[in-house]
Amino acid sequence: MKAVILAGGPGSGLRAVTGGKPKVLLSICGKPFIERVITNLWKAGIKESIIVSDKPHDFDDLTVKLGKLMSFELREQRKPEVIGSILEAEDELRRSALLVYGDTLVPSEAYLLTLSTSIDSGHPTILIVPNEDVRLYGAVQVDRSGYVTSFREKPKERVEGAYAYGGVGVFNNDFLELLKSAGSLEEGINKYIRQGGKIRTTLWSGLWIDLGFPVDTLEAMYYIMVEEFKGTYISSKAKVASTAVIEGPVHIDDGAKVDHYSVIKGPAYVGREALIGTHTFIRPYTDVESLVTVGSYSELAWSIVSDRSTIGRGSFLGYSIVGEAATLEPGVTTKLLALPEEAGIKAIKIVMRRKPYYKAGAVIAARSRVPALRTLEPGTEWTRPNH
Amino acid sequence: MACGIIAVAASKGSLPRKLGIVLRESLKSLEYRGYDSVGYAVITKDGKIFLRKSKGMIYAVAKKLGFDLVDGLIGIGHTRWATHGSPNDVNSHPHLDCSGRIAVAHNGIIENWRELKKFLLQKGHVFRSETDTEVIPHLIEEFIKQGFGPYQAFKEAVKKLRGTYAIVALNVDAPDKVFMAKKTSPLVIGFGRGVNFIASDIPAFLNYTRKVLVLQDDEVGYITSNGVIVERKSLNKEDAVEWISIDYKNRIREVEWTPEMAMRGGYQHFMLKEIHEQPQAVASTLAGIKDDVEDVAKAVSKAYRVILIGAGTSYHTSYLGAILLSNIGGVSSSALISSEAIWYKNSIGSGDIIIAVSQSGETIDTLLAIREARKRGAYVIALSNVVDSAIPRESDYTLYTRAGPEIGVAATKTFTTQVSALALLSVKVGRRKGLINEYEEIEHLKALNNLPETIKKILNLYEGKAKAISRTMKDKLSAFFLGRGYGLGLSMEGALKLKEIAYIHAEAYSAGESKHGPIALVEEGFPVIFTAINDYECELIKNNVEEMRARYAWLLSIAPKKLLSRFGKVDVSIPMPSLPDTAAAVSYIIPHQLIAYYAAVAKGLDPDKPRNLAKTVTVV
Repeated sequence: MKAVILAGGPGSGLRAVTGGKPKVLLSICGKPFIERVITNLWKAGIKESIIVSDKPHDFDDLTVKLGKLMSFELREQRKPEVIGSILEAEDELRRSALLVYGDTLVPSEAYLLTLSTSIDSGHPTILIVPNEDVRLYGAVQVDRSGYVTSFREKPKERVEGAYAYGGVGVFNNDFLELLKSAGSLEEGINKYIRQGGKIRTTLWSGLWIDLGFPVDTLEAMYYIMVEEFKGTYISSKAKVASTAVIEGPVHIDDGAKVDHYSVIKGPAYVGREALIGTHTFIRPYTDVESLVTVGSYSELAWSIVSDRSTIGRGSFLGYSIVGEAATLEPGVTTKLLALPEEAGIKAIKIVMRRKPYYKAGAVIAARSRVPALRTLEPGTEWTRPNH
Repeated sequence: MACGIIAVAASKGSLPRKLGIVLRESLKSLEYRGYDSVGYAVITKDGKIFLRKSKGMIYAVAKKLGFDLVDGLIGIGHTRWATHGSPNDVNSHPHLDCSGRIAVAHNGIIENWRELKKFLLQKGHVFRSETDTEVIPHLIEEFIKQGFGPYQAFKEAVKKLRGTYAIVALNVDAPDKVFMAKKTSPLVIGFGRGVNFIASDIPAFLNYTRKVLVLQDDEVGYITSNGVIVERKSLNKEDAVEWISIDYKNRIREVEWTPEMAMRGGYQHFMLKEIHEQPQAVASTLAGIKDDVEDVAKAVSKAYRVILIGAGTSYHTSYLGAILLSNIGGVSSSALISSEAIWYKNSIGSGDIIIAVSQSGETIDTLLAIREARKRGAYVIALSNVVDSAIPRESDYTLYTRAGPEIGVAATKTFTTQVSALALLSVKVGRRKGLINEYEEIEHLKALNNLPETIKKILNLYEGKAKAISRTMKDKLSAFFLGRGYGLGLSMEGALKLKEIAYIHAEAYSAGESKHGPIALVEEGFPVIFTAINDYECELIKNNVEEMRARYAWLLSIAPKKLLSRFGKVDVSIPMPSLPDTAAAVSYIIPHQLIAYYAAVAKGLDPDKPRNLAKTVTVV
């Protein structure tokens, strides 16, 4: 069985963080996001996959690294939008290859469910998920027997009673023939239904992670840590000072150094050859990627710090994402408390002592530099280049 | 010894920069010939020789030696690849005589240096180094003592020398001249405006002139800023040595190489640049030999058998050439390693054709082999990249590849140009012998003419992937390259590239032979690279892939895209275009080159200057 993975472009919501690279390659807890997608596909018995991206060569490393799992074919996406990438792998999709969005992570069971539903029903099948913000993922309305009645790719507002499109599907010859003449996925699905075709849905209520906006990415990291970190792992090649405190599920990778009096409260990840300076406090759900330097007396909470970045001493970073090779000079502080519904900032809702808080930090672009002692307001996107 | 020599004789104001800078830049472009020590000598205004030399590569010692500060009009420089005496400051060239009035730089080996040294020691000369070269300045000094003039003394000294040499010499008593002599080792003269050059190779003075005279064996002479004198050794009736002045005017050639061609052109290393130059190099090679190849095909198709000889990469070319000529050309053909060819000499005779493959045209083992073969009546065809080099000069016919200068020590574009020349030849021979029909000939020629495009496409598609693969390869200690037929020839070349520049032990083996021994080494994660170019090879290799997979090897396959599925699951595959054998034998090497290059870079090595290797091997 083959899979077609749509690995698209930089992703509008994450463009600053990815620095132009495909967003599915964003490293979370030491692995590019898409690597987990591929591993789950492999668990579902997929042996060959076609990766469609506007920058196929960015995936060369990944295909070699995961060569043991499956064979890969890289294809360049030449036309825009989802439909452009679907048509790039039209030949395989006609032969009922599994269509997978590279920025959507589900367990292997969800893939198997989609495949078996499509085989049982004999119709094109898509995976749908409940309780998600359909504005971002596409709204699918379903009749009682589980067939699609309408599909909207980018609805402006909430659609009552609709499920979100889960980014996994199996198509067939007729559907693709129609899709070719349609201008978008939405048009194609609706036209297919109007012409009497049936599209089956399969409901998935388990883990479903999407990489869209920075907040989603932080949530994705949360789920990945909850799923993957069962206990504390410290590489034999890592160095942890005797006075450092490691609490809860923490993963410390090869060559990482944790200096004296630092406290790491799990779940947290410290990547290859990262340095955690003395007296630093790493709070839960923090992902420090490889070759990152965190200066002494810093505090990090629920954040992703990408490869080769530097956090200056005495900084506080919360609910934030730092792109590759960015620099925070000493004493940079992020403010977290947001009033999201009013300010239009997407924030993470935290309930503490029965009181809800909305937290949002900053997004620091790849290769940018934040000057010393700067205070960043919630929802800031810092893009000033590194000189 | 593969050393680089440069000599400059300039008139006032004819050089755009200081003499020291000119020498340094020239030596830099000769670095591919050797790079373990550097030195220079110039004649100063007050008529003395100023000499500096040191162990190390040019960029490292240029400052220490004060290259850029030196000015003057007459100077010589040398970059050395040690064979005689360890690479240290004292053994570096140029060498002086006792009085410090004569300076000599030399490339080659003086065979009778022990006798000469003994003789000179008895005469009271004091030697400083352990090199063979140092006898030359002392010898010249000795003849000057006996009353000869500077040029006469130089010629007398050359008369005494046995072995191989390219020599340039300064003498303060002739402060406007640089003397030169050549036997076997290469020496070329460059004619500029108000300045003349002598060098081991053309790129050394391409910045100043493109008018070139290639010296032949047993020629001596000197250059001044406005003239060149060349004389040839000959024997008179009494068997005494005589020097006959020769007219070289119609031997002067205009070379088309531009200085930019000889520079890196924006690439990080020459090797990468040369990999990317392959489309161009193959195109001009195929265009350049169009007419000549018909003559050669005529001769080859009548041959009793064809033996291709070469060393290193040229042997791999020969190996592929032998298969091409047998398989497509239909002539009995085999390949021999140059240094091993001597064991087959007794069976060589008239009716045999020897195709001598040598990029530089100076490879000594190949040269010795063709001399032997010609003595026995074989017809010798050279395949070389350097016009008028030794092997073409001693051959009956020459096919020149037009790869341009190759500076990276690891052969890349010369391999593809050589193989494409032999592929074209095999098609022409096959047509003459009736082994392929008109339609097949057209198919082959179309694919060959399309090679530049094909190679470009492969480079575009797989450079990133090769980089990614190299990150896996760089941590491996050992690797197998397996193939059958053409695939084996390509595997041998791929393995050579990996070992010579990335220092990873790589072994090429016939896939069919792998279970007769080598497979014992395979364990989990052991890299095995399979190369197959056509349906038949893929079919045969299938089981070998299976064997390796069963032992958990790390598998990389380079094969036509359509046929890859036959191998089942491999770790990494490089899907190649489906091509006729002729074109595939050329283009399937590209991924190998890229993987080796990027593995070397990933390991932090300089792929242009692999340790212990020199570009042109002129010593047996």
